[in-house]
Amino acid sequence: MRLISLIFITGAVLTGFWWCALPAYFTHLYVYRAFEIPIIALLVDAYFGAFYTFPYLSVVALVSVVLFEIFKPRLLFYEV
Amino acid sequence: MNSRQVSRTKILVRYVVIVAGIIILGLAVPKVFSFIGEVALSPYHTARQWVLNSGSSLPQYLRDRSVLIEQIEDLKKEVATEKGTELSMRKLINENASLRELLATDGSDRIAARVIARPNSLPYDLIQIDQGSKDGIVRLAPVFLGRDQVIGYITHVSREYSFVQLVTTPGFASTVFIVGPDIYTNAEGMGGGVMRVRVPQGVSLKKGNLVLLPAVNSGVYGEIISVEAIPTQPQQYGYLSPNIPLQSMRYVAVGTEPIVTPTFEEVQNVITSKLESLFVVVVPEDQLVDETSTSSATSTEENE
Repeated sequence: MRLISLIFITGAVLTGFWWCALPAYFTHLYVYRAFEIPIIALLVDAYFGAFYTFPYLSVVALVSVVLFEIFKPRLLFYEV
Repeated sequence: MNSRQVSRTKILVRYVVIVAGIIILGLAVPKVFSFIGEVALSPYHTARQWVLNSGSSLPQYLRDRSVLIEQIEDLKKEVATEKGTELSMRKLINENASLRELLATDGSDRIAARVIARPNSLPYDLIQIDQGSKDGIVRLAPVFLGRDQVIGYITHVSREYSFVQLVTTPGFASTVFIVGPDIYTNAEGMGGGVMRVRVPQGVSLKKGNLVLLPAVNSGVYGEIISVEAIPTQPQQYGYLSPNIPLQSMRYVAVGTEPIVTPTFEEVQNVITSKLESLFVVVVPEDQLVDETSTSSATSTEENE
């Protein structure tokens, strides 16, 4: 399920379907400890040549993963 | 804080340091990272090209199904009136003319390329074209719409495709020359194919003023389509866009040389030559009558 979710998010981001990608992304961050997301974002940024300017996706992905890791324990009903 | 939380925090800090290090490394050697990204996502690119452009039965079916459903009525009418062939011919002639127009440039070579993805289907404000390094595309080459309308530059080249950074990307700054008030000013991208210039209220900014991008030789961007002047504000805004919307672009022309930022004197020469050629229209040789034309001699003398 985690892999399917990851493929879905990657596909949605690559094709610009933000309205699909964002809810799936935040759900993925909430459900899993999504350390793989910034790695995928790095590859997507590299594919689009964003390292020639600024890799926004990677930075946003890293910041969001860190924020979710910090705040998730306060949002969960049980300790993971 | 218990030992488990301490361990989790340590892991998180290490992870952040590693990923941040990779990002910084990527900014230092973007070419290497772009190559890795190209290789890693080549299955995606291949699959996308297969679905969007392949002539195989399945992708053609997938591609055409929705379009065909919408066009069934039109097609029926076309068949009924036997205009199908004529319309196809006209479409091909238009396509041929637009490609010829793209390549008929003033001296510098151009490479015609088809637009395969636009900003609405990409996570960045880019255009993807179907020509890459194997076709002679180089990084930082200007990208034109039509004959001399600059829309951006090549930001990333792979073997089979390239990405075009648009001059209208939000925050993208460029120097422009506005014909009419004849002033140099700075323009900023607004996204969606629109640029904005900001000038003092006293400047006579009007709809239809032609805007040149002097950094690119032979570069025109478009014309002012709207002026926003509020009397209580010290400045006024002019919005400009190309005559073809981003979503309707099908072909572009790419220069073969990278853009080299010119000096102000060079920019002035470009502007002068551009203004001098404003009234020159490219007329086909068989339609143009001048001293080089060959025709039979005529005389106004009366025959006796």
